[in-house]
Amino acid sequence: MADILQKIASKLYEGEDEEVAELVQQALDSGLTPKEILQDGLIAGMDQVGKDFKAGDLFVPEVLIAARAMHAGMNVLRPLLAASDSPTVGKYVIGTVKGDLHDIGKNLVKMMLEGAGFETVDLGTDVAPEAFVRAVQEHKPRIVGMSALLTTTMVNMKSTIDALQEAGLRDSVKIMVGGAPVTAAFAQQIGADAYAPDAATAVDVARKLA
Amino acid sequence: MARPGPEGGQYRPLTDEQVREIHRASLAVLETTGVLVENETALRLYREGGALVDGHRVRIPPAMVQAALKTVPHRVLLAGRSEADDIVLEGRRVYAGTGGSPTMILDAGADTPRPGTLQDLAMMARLADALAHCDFVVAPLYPTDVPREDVPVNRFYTCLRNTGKHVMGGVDSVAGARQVIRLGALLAGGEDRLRARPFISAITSWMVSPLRLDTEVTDILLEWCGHGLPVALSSAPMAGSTSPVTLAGTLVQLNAEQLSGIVLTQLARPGTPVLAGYIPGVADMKTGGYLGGAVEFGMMQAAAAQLAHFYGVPIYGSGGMSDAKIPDAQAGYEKMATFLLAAMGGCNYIHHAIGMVTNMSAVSMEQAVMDDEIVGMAMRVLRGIDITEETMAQEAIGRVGPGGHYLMDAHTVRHMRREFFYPRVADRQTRAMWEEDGKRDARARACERVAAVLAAHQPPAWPVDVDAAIRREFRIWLE
Ligand code: B12
Repeated sequence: MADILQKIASKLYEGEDEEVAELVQQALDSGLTPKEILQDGLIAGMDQVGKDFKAGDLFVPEVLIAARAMHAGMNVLRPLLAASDSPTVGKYVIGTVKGDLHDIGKNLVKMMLEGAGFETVDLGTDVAPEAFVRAVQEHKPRIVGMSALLTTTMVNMKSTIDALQEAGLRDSVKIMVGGAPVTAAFAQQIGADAYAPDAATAVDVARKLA
Repeated sequence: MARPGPEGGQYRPLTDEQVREIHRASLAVLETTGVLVENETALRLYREGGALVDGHRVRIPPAMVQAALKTVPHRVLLAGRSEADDIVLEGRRVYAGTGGSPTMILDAGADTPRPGTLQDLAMMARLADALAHCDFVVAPLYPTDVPREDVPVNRFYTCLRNTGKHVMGGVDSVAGARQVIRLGALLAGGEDRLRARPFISAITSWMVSPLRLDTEVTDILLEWCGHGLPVALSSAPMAGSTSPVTLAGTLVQLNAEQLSGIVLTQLARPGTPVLAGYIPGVADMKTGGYLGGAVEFGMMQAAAAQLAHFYGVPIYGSGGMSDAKIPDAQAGYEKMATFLLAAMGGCNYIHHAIGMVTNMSAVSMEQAVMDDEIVGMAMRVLRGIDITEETMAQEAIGRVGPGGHYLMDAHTVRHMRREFFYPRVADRQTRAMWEEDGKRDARARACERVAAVLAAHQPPAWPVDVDAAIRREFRIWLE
């Protein structure tokens, strides 16, 4: 029985999305609980991916492909998971702030979060403060992530936080910011809850916040 | 007389047949995959020009590319304010200069950058004006202390005021483009005179790789083309994330992007002077981050130059970047590798070559002084080994004879100044003298040279009457 969980973990590590989905179904058919499959199969595999990525043995494309396999497994499991078993405490809304079109870093963060089991809502680029507010109202996320690559658009992170404040939503979410020119000091200065310098750290930080 | 611009082309990573293979593959990409165009004007131009338009997807047949290559100029003058500072982009001539739009500056000796100001930009431009091997000034800083809408005109004003060399930069918006052109016209004494001797030009990052046009920047590009002033197209894919991971695949895509841009500019205004802006970056497969100092960048830049030579279109490229955070040993070897490869590839206009640290994220004055030396060494390489009866020196060899020495021979005195490159920052003293001098490394010596250069240098005179006119028309933030 443990065999199949190990197989899920290793197929996930190899990024075989279709096989992972099939194996998850097989595991369910054999009587394993969704929670066991999630913890000892999918998350176990993804944790190994995370470790090897940090050690520099795995490269970004391999992590993203593993994340896609995680996703495929989650699609089978999600309807069966009781709310309390879910690995996410809620959703993660992410976007690049107004005036900014850089999205490579934001996409990387999003995909890594998905790999770690977060359910993400991607608002895209050039996202106005009002659009963030609307997304928070609609999706009720646990965390909002903002990306900015231009020093000239960093200020729009502050405007977005202000807009959330005005809409009375600020305290319902945790706010994370990132992007090359953003620093921990800046994050603190504008009243964000957290900053991460890269996608792998973003996942760690998000896990702590969630 | 224009600035020298020695000939590159000694390093050719591609064979002629490989150049043609990449060319054919790029044409096939344009015809089958095409580009994504959401800009209505560009969409109309492409459609009327004979492209197959399906929604926002534009597929460009080879005949359109051939037609554009017939009208695009093979030689582009980027004027200085005086002819001595002109640069003429053609063939395999190589020029180098500053670059990028970083917002950060690293102070002398500092290890953490700070936000740059308009005053910093003025100092950088003045330094660039003084540096012997800096052929042109790409606005080296994006000031953070000027209101956003005032930045384009203030950037160009500040650069022009502090250097007589050609000034190129991004203009942010269509309004910015118009203001910058107006500024140029005021200085030139009319837009016609500016067109005849364009001492300003624009960079437009109109392409978001892979193969997608930025709607807003495309408007800027079309506006600029409409004035018939020189423009650099710029597409900067990163191999592995926004273009194929293989160097060949990145070249195929980048070349397709450039050809699609050349087609657009020639549809907008046949004969528009364009620099094909091939910027072949690399994504760090370990983090996804951008790499400017990768050796493959230099290899691809040289290959891109071969493609541009094949089309006969001047090329705007990049060289002399490093991913080091301070001017250290890594900066030295990455910069030399990427610059030398681009220069020996015959890349006509190499920006980012002077003053950048942390790839294109910050500038440093002492780095600029060191980079000027790297460029000087590379240009010496391009100058090559001069073989004449006089340089082969048979006569001198006979005169000195076996067992003698050349130190006092007339032949030595005749050639010694020109034959060698003389560095200003590199230390060539004996160890004892170096120790006595305070055991300073290259960075410390470069800092000292920055101060000396700035103290001694005056930029060319600035017309007072025109200045008043400029200030009446625009909000100028420089004192
Ligand atoms: C690729 C690129 C572009 C592409 C963008 C393509 C795309 N789809 O994103 C294009 C060509 C479109 C582009 C356009 C422009 N660009 Co640009 N661009 C870059 C470049 C070369 C790389 C950026 C990148 O993708 N890095 C790789 C990713 C993986 O790294 P990252 O974004 O930093 O993300 C990581 C972390 O920051 C973090 N992170 C990111 N987001 C988030 C969010 C959260 C919540 C968290 C926790 C973490 C996090 O995790 C990520 C993964 O590890 C940089 C140079 C550089 N060295 O960064 C310039 C750069 C950012 N651009 C610059 C400029 C000036 C421009 C233009 C204004 C140029 C022009 N004049 O037209 C336009 C602006 C367009 C606009 N309105 O946004 C400047 C910015 C200067 C500044 N500091 O303000 C830079 C620094 C280059 C330069 N010196 O000129 N650019």
